[in-house]
Amino acid sequence: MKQKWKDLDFTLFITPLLLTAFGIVMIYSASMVIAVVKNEVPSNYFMIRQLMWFGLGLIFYLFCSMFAYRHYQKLIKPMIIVIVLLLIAVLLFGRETNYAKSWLDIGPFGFQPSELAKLGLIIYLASAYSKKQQYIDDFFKAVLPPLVMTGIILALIIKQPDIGTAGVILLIAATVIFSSGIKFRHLFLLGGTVIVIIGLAATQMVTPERISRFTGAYQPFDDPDLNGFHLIQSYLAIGTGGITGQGLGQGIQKLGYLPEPHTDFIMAVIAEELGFLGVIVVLGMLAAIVLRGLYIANQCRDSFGSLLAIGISSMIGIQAFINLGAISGLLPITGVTLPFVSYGGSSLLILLISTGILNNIAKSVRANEQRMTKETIPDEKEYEKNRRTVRQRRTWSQSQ
Amino acid sequence: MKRVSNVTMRKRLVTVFLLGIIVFGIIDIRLGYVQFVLGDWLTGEAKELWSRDIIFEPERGDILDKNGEVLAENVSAPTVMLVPRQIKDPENTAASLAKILNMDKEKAYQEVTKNENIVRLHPEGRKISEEKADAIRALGLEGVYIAEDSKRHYPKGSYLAHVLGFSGIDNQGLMGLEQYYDEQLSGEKGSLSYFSDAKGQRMADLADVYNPPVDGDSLKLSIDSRVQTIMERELDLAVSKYNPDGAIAIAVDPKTGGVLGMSSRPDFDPEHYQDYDASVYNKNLPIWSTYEPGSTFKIITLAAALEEDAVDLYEEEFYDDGSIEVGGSTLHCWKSGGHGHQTFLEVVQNSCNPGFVTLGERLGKEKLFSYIDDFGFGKKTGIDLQGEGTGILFKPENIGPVELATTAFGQGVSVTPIQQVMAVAAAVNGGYLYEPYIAEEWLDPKTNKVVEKTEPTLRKQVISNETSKEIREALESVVAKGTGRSAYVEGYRVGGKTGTAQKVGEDGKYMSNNHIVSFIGFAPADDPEIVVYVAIDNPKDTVQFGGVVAAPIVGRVIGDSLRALGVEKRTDGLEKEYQWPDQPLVEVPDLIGLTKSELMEYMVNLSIETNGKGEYIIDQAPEPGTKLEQGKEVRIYLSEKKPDEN
Repeated sequence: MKQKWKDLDFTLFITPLLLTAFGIVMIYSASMVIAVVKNEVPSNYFMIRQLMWFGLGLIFYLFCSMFAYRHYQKLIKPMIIVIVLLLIAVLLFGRETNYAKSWLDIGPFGFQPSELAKLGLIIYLASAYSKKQQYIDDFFKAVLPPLVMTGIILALIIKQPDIGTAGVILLIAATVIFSSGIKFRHLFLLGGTVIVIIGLAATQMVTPERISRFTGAYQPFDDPDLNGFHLIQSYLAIGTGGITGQGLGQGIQKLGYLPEPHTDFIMAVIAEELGFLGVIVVLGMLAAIVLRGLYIANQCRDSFGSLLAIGISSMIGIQAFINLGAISGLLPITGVTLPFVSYGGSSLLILLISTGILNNIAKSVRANEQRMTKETIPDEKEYEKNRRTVRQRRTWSQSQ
Repeated sequence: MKRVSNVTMRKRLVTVFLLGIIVFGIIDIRLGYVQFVLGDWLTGEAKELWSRDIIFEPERGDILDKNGEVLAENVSAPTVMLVPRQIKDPENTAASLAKILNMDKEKAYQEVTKNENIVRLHPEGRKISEEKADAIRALGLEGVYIAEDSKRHYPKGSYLAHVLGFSGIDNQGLMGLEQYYDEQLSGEKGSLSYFSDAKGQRMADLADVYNPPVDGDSLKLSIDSRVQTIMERELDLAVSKYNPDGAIAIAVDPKTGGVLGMSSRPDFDPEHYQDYDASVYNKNLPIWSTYEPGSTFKIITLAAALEEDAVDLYEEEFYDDGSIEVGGSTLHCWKSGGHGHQTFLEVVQNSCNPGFVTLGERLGKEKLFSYIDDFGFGKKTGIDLQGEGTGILFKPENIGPVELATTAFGQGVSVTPIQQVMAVAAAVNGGYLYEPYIAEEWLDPKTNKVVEKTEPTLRKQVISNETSKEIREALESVVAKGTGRSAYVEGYRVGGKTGTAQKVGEDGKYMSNNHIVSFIGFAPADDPEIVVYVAIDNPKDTVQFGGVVAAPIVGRVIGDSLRALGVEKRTDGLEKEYQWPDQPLVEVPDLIGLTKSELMEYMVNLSIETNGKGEYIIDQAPEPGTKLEQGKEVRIYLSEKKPDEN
């Protein structure tokens, strides 16, 4: 067992935990005032809850890190059924917040089935496309069938409507499919289809409210009181931070100016209080997880593991991009949270499970490498030399 | 275990990896851009968003007279403040407020439901009466507060109104000194800036910035309320007696140019200026109006002639046959038949027009007009009030012999009262033309220490001390022996000159029986302490002569003022002529059947009181032939119709 722990990738193992811990500190700073003023709960309410989710998530994290990822393939059918049922349940019994039915209440805790759907779909797609690697060029036999399930899940989430999560899922799926090695011809076909569908949906779903939310992202000061308001508040928070920020807890924008300072806009609070340095640290940790995950995917000899790592890494990267793009005015505000850092229990739980799985893939890659070195090079000196190369490579990747 | 041997998949993974790096790069650059490039601008925006200012109004400076008597001050005035968030029942609140404050219900409702922290009910709820404030307090409306604001109070009402001016509802100076010195009087607003969250709650951990308001300085005037009071009284009397179209009085200290008093009619109450026609408070007649000065202007001609040695008042003689030929036209003396043989001193005493024309001719146009210019005519005097007139002089190229001649006795030029006062002050004070001023000192409102003091501004010395002395003597004799007799004040050696200015009507011609009668006087003649000018525009039911209407007013103003100022009485002055023991009594002439304008020839040694209205004299008292002391009153009765010839 000791040996097994030793095989873990240190960077990939420690970073999500550090990021989550840091997130909890920032959640406390961001939410202590609005907790009291707006939600009328104790100032540490959000922090305590996030801490509880972290505790739960940590158990899953450690478990998933050790649980051989290959076994998930066997669980795919029941998992997909549960996910679809939950997504239907949320449409029927869900709690509505911000005009979307996304939450299922389990006791005092709320749970977002769409978070689970993300991971479930990644596992499903990774498994499906790795099984079909032999005939991946066949559109109808290989490419199309998994897309049906993807479509169903997407449709259920759009129905809530949670466009942000749907967008994230669509992009994750696209990344996994792209990475699975299907033909460019098929890629273009799928891409074209998606664009046509989105275009058609857009003509159906576009409302002035949605347009203004969109334009608010690009000309916030044209309409500072309404649609530009959130973005302006975010700008003001980021802009006043400077290099070192106002100091932890000293931010002003979280005092009712920033919408959702502890969830969607937590990075704005970080920018205001800790400055650009704080931003760089958070971004660096996120990048470390994502790029390390992609590197693992590249190293993984098993196509299921590889695609799974791609899916999980891209999920974190895409969410980070959409969230940070929104607060910095590159993208419209869609309510996608910042992985690990933002407040949100089910999201954190799923992220910790996901990175746990990623850790397990990394561990198997490492173990595999070592086994291969041992098997193929009996010479003691050669073995030492190879080990050094591996260590060097590790050092390189840590410095990413 | 399936191995990923697929080269395509490997390439795609690298692509995704690179994309990931690019995505993080983009986010990084974008955040850096917002943080650093937009940072400063955003910080400014944010500060504005967070900070709330509570404005502290400064106290407007008081206006005091020379001796510290308060002419304008601040009194507290209740003002209605609303806190819309606390108003539970906006409809009833609006209705009650609208009823008490006489305002529109709709407007009141809008105000009480405004999305602001604090709403001031403007203008209906601002600076309201104590009764209204009590009525509102009695209702005990939630979210409605009565705050103490201050408003300008002029304790003496319409006293000095045109000079003081008034200030508006925001304590901003709108007219007169209040406007001219608004900046210094109003002080600087203070503020308490505090940072607040989105709900307007104060943020305790960010320091408040308090800039205390700086109260306006108190303004001490050159105006002496003792003099001003006398002038106001005299103008009130003149108005009730003559019902004139307007009246002007100015008193100046000739030694400094400081204005001691300034008043005019019609006047207004600055606290209720809205109740008056704008033309009343917009025009400060003593500095605004321009008209032909008439004979008072002869002082300037006299000064020029004396300074240029163009005349010897005592030795030279002049014969006035009643008219003088100038450039082909005949100019008449005001006394038909003329004054006959007289010294030039008598020319001055009699205000003889042909005599002054002769002086003007001796000077020539260059010299006379250069003195006129030196004495400050044709340009603003620079008094510290808005709306000063400049007057109109002949253009040099248009001055022919006739223009020169009429200018010499005060016709054809147009001047302002203040110009005349300053010019005469210069003529009698030793020759020094000063800039008139009203603001004398600025006082610190708390310590009452002088912050700033106006030094008299000497424009230039126009004539010599000797010339000035001669003018004083000549003008003293005008009052003692000539047309200005009714301005005589025992012991104060009053000097002066009458003026009867013709007004130009709308048709461009002189109006008949519509004059501005004036008198400019100074005293004591050996060392003048005060110059007083009084002009009455179109006095009714009297003969319109400066010597009849204006001179007695000036005499009373000078006498009372000098007594009030504690100026010592002189003993060496010229005696009033009739008091000389060998002075023969005057026989009262037969005035019946004459017109009012013909009367001028007879009024020299007697004063005239009128009864009734009209052009023609139908009766007189005492009877013709009665012997009277010089200067005694003859009462005449006027009628529109000519008396029957029988």
